[in-house]
Amino acid sequence: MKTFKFIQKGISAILISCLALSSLILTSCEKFLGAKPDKSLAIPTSLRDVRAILDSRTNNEGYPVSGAMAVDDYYLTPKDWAAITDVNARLNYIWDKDDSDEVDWRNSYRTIFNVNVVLDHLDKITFENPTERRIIEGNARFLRAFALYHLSQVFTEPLETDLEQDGLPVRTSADINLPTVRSSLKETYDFIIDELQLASELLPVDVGEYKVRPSKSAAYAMLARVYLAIEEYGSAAKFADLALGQNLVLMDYATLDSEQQNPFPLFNDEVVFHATTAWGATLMPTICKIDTSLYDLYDENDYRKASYFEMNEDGSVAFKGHYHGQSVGTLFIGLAADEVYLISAEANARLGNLHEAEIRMDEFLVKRYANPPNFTDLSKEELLQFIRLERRKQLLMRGDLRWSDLRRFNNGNNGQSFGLLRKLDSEEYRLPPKDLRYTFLIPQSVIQESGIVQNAR
Amino acid sequence: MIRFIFFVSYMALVSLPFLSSAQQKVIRGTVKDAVSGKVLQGSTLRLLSSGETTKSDRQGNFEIQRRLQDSILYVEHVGYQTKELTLDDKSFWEVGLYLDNRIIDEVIVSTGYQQIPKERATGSFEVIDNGLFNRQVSTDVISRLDGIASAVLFDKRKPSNQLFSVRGLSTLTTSNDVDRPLIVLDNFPFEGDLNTINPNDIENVVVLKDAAASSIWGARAGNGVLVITTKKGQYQQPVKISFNSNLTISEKPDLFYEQTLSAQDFIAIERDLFEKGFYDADINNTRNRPVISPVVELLARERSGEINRETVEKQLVTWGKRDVRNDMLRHVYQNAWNRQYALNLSAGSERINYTASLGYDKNNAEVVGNSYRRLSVRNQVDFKPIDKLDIGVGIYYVNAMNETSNGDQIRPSSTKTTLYPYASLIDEQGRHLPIEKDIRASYADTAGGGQLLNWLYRPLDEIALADNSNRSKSLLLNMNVGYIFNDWIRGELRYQYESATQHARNHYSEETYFTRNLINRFTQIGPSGPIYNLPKGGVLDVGSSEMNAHSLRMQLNLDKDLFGTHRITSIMGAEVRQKENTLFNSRAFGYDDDVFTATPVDLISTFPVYGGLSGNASLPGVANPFAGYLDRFVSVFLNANYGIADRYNISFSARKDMSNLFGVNSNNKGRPLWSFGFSWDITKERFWNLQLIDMLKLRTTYGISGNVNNALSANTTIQHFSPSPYLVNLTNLSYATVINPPNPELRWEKIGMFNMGLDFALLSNRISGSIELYRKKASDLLSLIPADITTGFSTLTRNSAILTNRGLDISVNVRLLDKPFRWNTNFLFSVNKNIVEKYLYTPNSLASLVGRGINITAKEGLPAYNVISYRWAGLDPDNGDPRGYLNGEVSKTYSQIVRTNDWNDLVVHGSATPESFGSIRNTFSYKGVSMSLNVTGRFGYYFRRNSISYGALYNNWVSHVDYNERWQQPGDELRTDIPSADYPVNNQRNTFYTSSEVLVERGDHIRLQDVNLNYQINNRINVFMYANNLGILWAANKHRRDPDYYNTLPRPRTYSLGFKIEL
Repeated sequence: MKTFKFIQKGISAILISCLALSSLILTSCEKFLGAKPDKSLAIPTSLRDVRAILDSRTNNEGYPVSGAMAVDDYYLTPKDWAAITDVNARLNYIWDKDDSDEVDWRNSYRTIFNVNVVLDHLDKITFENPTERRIIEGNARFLRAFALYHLSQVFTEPLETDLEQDGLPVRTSADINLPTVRSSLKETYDFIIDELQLASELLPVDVGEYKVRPSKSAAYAMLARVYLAIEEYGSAAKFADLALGQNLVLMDYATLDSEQQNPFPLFNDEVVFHATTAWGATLMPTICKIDTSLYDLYDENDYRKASYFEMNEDGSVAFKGHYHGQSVGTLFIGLAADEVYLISAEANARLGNLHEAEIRMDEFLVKRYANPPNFTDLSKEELLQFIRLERRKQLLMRGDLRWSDLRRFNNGNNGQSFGLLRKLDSEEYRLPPKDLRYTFLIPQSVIQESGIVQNAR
Repeated sequence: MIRFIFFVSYMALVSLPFLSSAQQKVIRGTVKDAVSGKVLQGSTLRLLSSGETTKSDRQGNFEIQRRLQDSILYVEHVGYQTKELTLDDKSFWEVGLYLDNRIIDEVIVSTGYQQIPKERATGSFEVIDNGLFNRQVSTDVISRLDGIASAVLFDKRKPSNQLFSVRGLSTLTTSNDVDRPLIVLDNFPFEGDLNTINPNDIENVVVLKDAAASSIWGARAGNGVLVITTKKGQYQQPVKISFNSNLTISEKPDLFYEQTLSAQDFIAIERDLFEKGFYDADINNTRNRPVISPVVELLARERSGEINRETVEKQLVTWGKRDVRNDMLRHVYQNAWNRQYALNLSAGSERINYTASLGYDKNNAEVVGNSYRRLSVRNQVDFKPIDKLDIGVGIYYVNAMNETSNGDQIRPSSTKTTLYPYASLIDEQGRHLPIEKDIRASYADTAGGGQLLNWLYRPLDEIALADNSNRSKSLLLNMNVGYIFNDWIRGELRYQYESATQHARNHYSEETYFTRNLINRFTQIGPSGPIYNLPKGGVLDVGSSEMNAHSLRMQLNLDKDLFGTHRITSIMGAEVRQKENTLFNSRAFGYDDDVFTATPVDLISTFPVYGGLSGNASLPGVANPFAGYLDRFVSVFLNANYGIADRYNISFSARKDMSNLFGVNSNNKGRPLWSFGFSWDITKERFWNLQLIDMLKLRTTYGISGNVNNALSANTTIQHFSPSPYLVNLTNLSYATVINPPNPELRWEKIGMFNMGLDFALLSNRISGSIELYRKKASDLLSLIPADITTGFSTLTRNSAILTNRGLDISVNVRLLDKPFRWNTNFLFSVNKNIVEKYLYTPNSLASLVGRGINITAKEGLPAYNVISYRWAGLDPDNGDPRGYLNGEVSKTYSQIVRTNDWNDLVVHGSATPESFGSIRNTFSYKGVSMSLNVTGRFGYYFRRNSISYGALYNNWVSHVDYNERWQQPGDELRTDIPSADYPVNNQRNTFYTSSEVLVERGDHIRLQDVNLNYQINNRINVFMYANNLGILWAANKHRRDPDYYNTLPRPRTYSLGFKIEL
């Protein structure tokens, strides 16, 4: 009994001291255990955090390349084609109906996720300066629209206003538990345009040397690109001209050192917003060759002939006029002044504002030719033809622009639809106008995981 | 009924003494350790005739009633040799017992928190005592456990020799070492580099296998715990000095184990591909000028008319006779020499004891220029200023240096991963020869017209020029104060500081290819000579890391006898731990090692690359120069053992851990973990009178422990990066990546384990051992799951899976022969089967499970590491295409087969890790000579052997002799399963074949692991010889593949010679 009492006493003494000890520990616990385990980690809570998310170069890279790979800007020799190990790239080249590039989908939706993280956290951050918030928000909305638009050129049909067409899943929250649902195509484009309009109001005029960040003129230029693709020429002209009003600069190609491997440096004067596509196996400069008939379109006094092209040892023509300063199998898909000039000219001509169109072309051509060709006294159709030819020559290998143009011309509204043809030895592959293969299949894994509707075949 | 029999026998037993005669005499005495003089408590004293027994008390004293017929007294103590005393008239006996080295079980096991007599433990402990631990020879501690510890399985499929598991897998996460067992050094988790622990400082190693044993380690115990105990001095012990040294020599690695094609065959393939135009794009490539092999270069020169056919043929014949592996063996590899020296000193007086040691290791590895040196110093002092107070102070310092030449890492380019077989590294005159590297050699040789630095790569030069070292210093300081409050409460305060710094230095002098290549790439030839955008001089990479860990523990130990025969022992306490890591990397250009100067450079701007080999690029600086990690834990714990009459033991433990698991609310940070156990020593029952059986103890436990992964977070987390200077730098903006989408339901992984064991000893301890059955259920496992990529993630991590392990561990020790010729056999056998029981997410296609089983591919109902293949339908008799199944039909649509979602198209072989394994260790000894052989076996698993992949052969120069056995003409399909060569290569066809069922083999094999020959010349001098990795005795596969190393080179045999002197 005595032992028992003794134990009781002992245990209670121990318990009390333990309790005292643990409460001492636990009160300071909160702070002690609140420390973050990896010092480079952070929950996005500050301007610096969201700024850094937007500045990640992944948001300027990896945009859809499937369309750019499927155009008639280039060709491969049968041997080079056979030597490509990436099956998707080989299928893409011959417009196989089952070709689908998961990388394109993943990259752009990852950018959309990053942007959504920023937008979701905006209200939790205290900004010292309201302008900072506006810039961040504008930047985020711009990127979301930019990614969605380029996805639409690969994974949705060309817009036809009188049809019920499937658009893209539009994700506006970073919550990964939200279901993936296809919006209608009209809704997709409305969303893209609304976002860009809002961005154009929020973004600053000047982003300094950082052309990886969008500016007001980038938003205008992007709106012009989108409106042109859906053939709303009035709005295209309006936003192209708004963009041009923001002091866009045309380089004088006469001053370029065309001997250089890459005559156009990264962030060159014409670049408004820097962005590049994902890597495409068929676009590797060693195998990607320019058709001589295309090369022959360039006049001898056209500076582009020397600065865009070089001859391979076997006499074939290679392209080096990339606006991102390198030839590595990716393409520049960002916005640049030359495109805006050409949009303005084409849209104005289309609207019948031939004089405005001619002024734009004058301004543009003088920076491209030693002796610009004469194009006065042309009819509207002839002028359009002329502008489109310059567009073809200027925007060669420029992201998915050619692909979007092909989709646009194919509906016949421009009286210029034509099919594409590729040859590999004796095999001929054709992509006729309005073919379903102008829309790529959504990656099978997305269909499986989300249950959304696959594109028609 | 059984209970009734027990009762009757019990009654009979207890009434026996009362029935016998009453002539009595009291014998008193003390029991001590004959060597150290330490009193022994709990020794059993038994009179032969009357059967009267008693135990020695705390002071070693005993008192026993002797009856007339008694003339012999047995004195037994676990771990000691039993003493037989012939009684005379003396009434006071001083009994000295000697340690019994033949019994494996130590008396005391350490859990890191307390010392538990194994006798009273309910949990499952595996003890590797000093003798067994030192049977092997190695520089490190961990690799010695291979083949001698039950339930411990080493995974040799990856290069490290320290990957092991205890009782199978408890998690599906393998990154960040989440699947590794916890390593405890003395009292605290060891956070530093395990290689720094000198095995000569180790007394023993205890493996805590079940929940009752390990759950005191709470949230970190889920994978099992290894407690490494260092040597300690003892009070009242004369000065002991020992010195030992050994030398280990290894054979060169067997390069011919790799089944690569001969040079002649390889050349024939290249000629064929050349004809087909495969190399044309590379040959005509005047931009980045990729590497082309010497044969292709030769053929291209012939085609352009530079040389004639005859020259070509002559050259090719010469090259066809070469094998670069001979050059490698002669000039890149050597016999490894490992030397080890250790000096130990220990002594103790009544109030103070100490132990000190000095160790030095010097290893020259198999690769010329790779070496390791380690110096370790240890000192531990314990003293008792007063009887009730003991204080210990210890310091352990290790200084190690690792030098690496990477001489064996020869990669011609980023895609050409293997050297062509006809390469030559040295010519007859002993001049080191260049090989193709990064850019086409014919271009590199002439580029710049002499204005550039030499651009050729000579592998053997690089070995000599290598100046790449990693120095580490680690310091372990510990202090402990113990105070005895009264005869049953003892308080302890322990503090440990662990610090480890690493300093890596890789100096690429201007003579190295690395530096010459960089300088050349950034050189422009101007009118007035070359302009160096990357300054001439060396490149110096410096990396340093620092780890600091503090641990503080307060603990109360209770030990109290109650009601005469009951006893409670308990510990309770709290601890706080913090571990902080910081890392720093930097690179200097234009470095001059003589005067320690470097040239500042512009890491932001881009510069043209020489010859337009690539687009403009910025100088390759260091990507993420800084990193820091911080782990914090706060824990409270309790462990209690209640013993009744030495027979029944009930144990209970509970622990709560809280950590700074990032972003989780404090509430969710902790999870209480607990265990419960019971043991019953039947032989201590009074009714027990079976003389054949000396010990029979039943144990059963259940408990829950945890597993922490601090790399995950419940909130959206982003990671900041410094501007990335690799490739073309876009801007000098720092940036961040979202690495973790929000997961508010994140919790710790939970491992529940049930264990049932039986310990036994028969025939006067001639046969002893244990049999244990267990079931381990790991739930809430974080697993990577596929996601809809539209969310922005292709995979997510969620607490989603359940994994169970069922297993059996048997360990039996038999003394087959005893004196003068002794023969002991130790038999270990373990079965461990794991099955993924729940896995919520199904992959896109079942085909994504196909693989080699090196990574976890979880699927409900299958082992976590499994081998699954494409079903094989033989070769197409027409063209030798491999055929599989698609939706159950024979098919060659590879693009669909490799995405199949139909089990009919696949074959499940089974586990990729052994489901049973064991060893038989026979030790023969005669007088001072003993020899011990360890034969190990692994069973019940599968592996995939390599074969020819035409894509890898053409694009990466990875060849395989199966090429020669390929299908070449109709009819061949009857003798071979190797597909015909195809061109252009269809990669999915390759994938199908190399992942098909025809390449899967059973991994079962038996291996003679090692032999130890030992000669104890006298009390002081011992010499030994030891041979390791001796070879496979039997293997189930007929392709001469070593199933443990089918993807890497087998570890070469090693031979050791050593001695130990004790003074």
